[in-house]
Amino acid sequence: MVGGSLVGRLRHAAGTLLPTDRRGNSYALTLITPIVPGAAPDLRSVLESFGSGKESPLARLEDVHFARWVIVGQLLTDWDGAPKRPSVIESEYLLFSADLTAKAPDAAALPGSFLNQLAEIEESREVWKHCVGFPATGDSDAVAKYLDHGRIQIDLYYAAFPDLTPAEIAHAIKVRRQFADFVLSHQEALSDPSAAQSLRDDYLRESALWPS
Amino acid sequence: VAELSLYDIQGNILRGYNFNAGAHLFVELARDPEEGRRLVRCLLPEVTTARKWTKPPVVALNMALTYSGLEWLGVDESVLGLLPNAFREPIRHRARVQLGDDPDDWEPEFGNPATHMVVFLASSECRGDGDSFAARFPKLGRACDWLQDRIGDHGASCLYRQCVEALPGGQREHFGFRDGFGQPAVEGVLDGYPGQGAPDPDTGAWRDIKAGEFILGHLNEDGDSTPGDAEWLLYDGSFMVYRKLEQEVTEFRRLVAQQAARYVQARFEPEDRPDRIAAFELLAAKIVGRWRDGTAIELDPGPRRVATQLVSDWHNEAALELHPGPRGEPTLDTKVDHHLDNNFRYGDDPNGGICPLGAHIRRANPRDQLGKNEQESARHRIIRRGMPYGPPYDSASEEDREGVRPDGDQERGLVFICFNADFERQFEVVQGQWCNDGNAFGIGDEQDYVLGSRDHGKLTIDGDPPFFATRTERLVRTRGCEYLFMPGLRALERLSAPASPVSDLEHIPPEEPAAIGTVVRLVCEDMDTHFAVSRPVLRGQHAKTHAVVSAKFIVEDVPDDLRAGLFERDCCYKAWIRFSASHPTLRSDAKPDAQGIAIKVMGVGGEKILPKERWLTTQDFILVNHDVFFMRDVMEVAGFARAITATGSSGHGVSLRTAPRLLKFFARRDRRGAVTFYEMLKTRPDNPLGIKYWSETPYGLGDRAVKYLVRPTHDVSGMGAEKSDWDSLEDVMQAALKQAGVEYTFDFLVQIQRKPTTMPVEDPMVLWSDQESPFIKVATIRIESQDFVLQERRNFGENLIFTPWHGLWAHRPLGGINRVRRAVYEASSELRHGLNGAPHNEPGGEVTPHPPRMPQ
Repeated sequence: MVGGSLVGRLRHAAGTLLPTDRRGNSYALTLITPIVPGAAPDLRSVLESFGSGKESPLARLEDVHFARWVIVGQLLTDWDGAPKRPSVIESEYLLFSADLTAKAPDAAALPGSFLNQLAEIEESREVWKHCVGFPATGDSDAVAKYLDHGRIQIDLYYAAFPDLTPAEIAHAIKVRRQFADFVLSHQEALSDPSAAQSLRDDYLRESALWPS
Repeated sequence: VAELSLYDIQGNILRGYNFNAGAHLFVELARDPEEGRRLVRCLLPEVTTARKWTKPPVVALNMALTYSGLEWLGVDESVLGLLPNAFREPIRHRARVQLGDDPDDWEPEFGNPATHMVVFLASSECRGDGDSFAARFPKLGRACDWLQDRIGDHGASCLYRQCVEALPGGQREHFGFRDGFGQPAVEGVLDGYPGQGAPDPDTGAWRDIKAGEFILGHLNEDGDSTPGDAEWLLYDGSFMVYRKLEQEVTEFRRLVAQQAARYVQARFEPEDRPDRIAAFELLAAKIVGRWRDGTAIELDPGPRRVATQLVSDWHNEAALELHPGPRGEPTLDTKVDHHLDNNFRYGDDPNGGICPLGAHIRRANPRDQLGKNEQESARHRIIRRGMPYGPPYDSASEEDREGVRPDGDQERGLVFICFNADFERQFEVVQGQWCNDGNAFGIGDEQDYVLGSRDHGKLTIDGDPPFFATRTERLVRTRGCEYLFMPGLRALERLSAPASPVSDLEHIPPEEPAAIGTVVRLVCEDMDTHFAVSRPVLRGQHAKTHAVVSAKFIVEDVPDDLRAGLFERDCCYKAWIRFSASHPTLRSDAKPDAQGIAIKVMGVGGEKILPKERWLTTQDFILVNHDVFFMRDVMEVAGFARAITATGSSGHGVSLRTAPRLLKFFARRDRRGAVTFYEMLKTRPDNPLGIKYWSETPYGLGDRAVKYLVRPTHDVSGMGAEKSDWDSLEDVMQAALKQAGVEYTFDFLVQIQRKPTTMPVEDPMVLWSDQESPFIKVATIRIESQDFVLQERRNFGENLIFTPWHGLWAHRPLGGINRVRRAVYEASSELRHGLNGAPHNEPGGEVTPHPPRMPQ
């Protein structure tokens, strides 16, 4: 049985009932790995060499809504209401966080399935090789295992559309835009009852061409 | 309620000038930062503040700095590092990402890191005749020339000049909409009206928005006051957005007319269908959310609206059919009505049946529409101060009708200016997320019909079926953008101060500016109450004058290392000396009280502390008959001021009524303070000519800190008052000075700070030991026989202003107590002279200012 405070035990009990890092088919992933002393500048230039948006290596991973790498140099201590004896971290860390959604049956395999994909891409190796304990062999299984070792538990997670994958959302936006374009090009017919049939025909014909 | 120091906040932020014309000069400072600071310093006296005026200035001057300008002026890295990223990032990059701009469309002068400062001139003069801007506004032209000369004097250059001019018919923009009146009501500025503040869901009324949403350092809607360590720079300042927005008026007219015809066709039966002009006006109102006369469409849904002169001019129709509106009488008035009804909400129109969800004003200020408790909008408000540029659209001109621009000079648009405390949370949300996207309002990526950054756009008007007004061209194009900071006057002064090692001796605690605000407010309120009926209004401190005597201030035999400022070279100056008692009201000399002298040395040349006194020739020294002060810092002064003024006039000064609060005040503090306070007040000298006076607080002397001592060197034993009565000290001095041929002398000495630890600058409760640093004589004061009890001398004395801040930069007052003194002196002497109806004239005349002042 878990020791520690009552609050800790309650939290643990609640966590086993309601996973706090999961909402529907979505998963909140956070990895923290210590950076090899002195390697941070090299790591920074690797990260800076990546493109953003569609150019980002992370854009190739289909479960990702948002993801980022952050180099944590030291904790800030001078903010309003900072503790009198602030924590000091012993090493620099690399933080990776991602918002993920997978399709229904696959979602249960998160985060493992995603870590396997992440381990496959070359850029991951370039990044995490600057971190302490990165497997020398560099084979995908070992990397995935290494990444999982750096995973930390998330206590609160909110997702606006917990069951929609990035592809589904992109698709919905595309359809919405196409539908708006259709309406704009058939405005006059909308208020003309005699045009209803031709409007219907047009809609069926054109919408059949929209991405499905 | 916020305590706003209107004398410290630049004008046109909290209240709009509403002037006819303006010119904005983009300035690159000289390579030498010292020269840059001199230019700012030279413009400082001309800056118009937020103070209420009885008569507007002919030309108002304001200035704002870019991030690179602050760097250029030598602001410390540690302070620069605290400024928001939005302000530090190159604007060409930021505008592309956050604002949807295409900076490739911009005029090349915008986003140029060489622009350090923008100076804004605004003119209240009436528009003259003439084709050129300069001919229509000659006074503005002269002020511009003057400014160009100053820029040239200081090795700076003007990179760009933008002129703005109100359109005929007042506050409106080129598309014909009345503009610029729907501003947030700001707490502490008393001219808001319903509909301008934030909606209050409980009372159904409107409350003012906290000043900290616009003026930094004050409480904002979240109960924070931003700045922290950058406080000295940011306090009383505001971040400013400057955007040059080109408007395609011809395209707007064509497009709205075309879409309006479709709209009425789709929505109205033929017999109800508005005519061409009414249809145009209706669709224009749907697009913006206001009819073009400014009336909110929520308050008057139409579909027809009384046509105004403005509208008929716009459509160039000789005979305009007047449609009676659903409310109100037909009006031809085009003048700005500041109290235009603005009291409406969107709660009853959730789907945009009256005002479309994507209408411009509904996006820019969604009022009660967003957030829990309808409070979200309050955190995203901006104060707008835009002005049109370019000639008005001329429907008689073929070029305008065709939209042809034979040369560049037909360009017209709006110089959009807005103020906020946080670019990212305020302006960028309004522009980037609310106007350039529709997601916040459930309308997908639909952009503002007028402002939208994409070529194609639409406006959805709710109904069954909905109507979509479409757009295939951009109506507004951004031609340039700058993010600027408009500092408070104190901050400008400090930014532009000559580099000096003395400055490093001072440490301003972050709470100090707010405490200064409190003290100033209490002192002014107290004077207001106390002197509501009685005249003349006396000084806030040291009200009672024993004598104002003429004297000689002789500088001689000064050790070489102390030769600075007034003590630079040997000279005999004329001086006035006021002997006074410290109590804030007139009392009998029989009561014990602290005594003071204020010395005004005449005919002094050299660089002054206050930029506004560049042309004066006086140097003041202020001393009292005690060696240490009884309070440590400004926060204590604020507590003390609360204690002695809390009950208004009945609690003025130290009295039985205020004693309990004073006891409480001192009980919480260092015991030394109470002891000093008691010692100061219990003295009852029998002759002001026979005692020593100390400055208590430190001053600069060249590059060091010193304290002053004035010590009598003559013998006054046996001359004291025989009995104590109301004016016995005046009588003693009169008796002493009336015999012909007498002469009284004092030594003027300075004590140099040796170690900052034992001789601190920021704590005047600490006595600087004269063993550690003995006083050194630098001048002699000589008072000769005279009769000072003359009415004219009394009047003269009563109107003199003494402040340690009147004087040379070399003798700059140091420490918090001196800093608060300055604010109090400024506010209270202005109030006093205003109430007494006597303008302040510093004696000794003025030198012709060089460089000359800005022509008005």
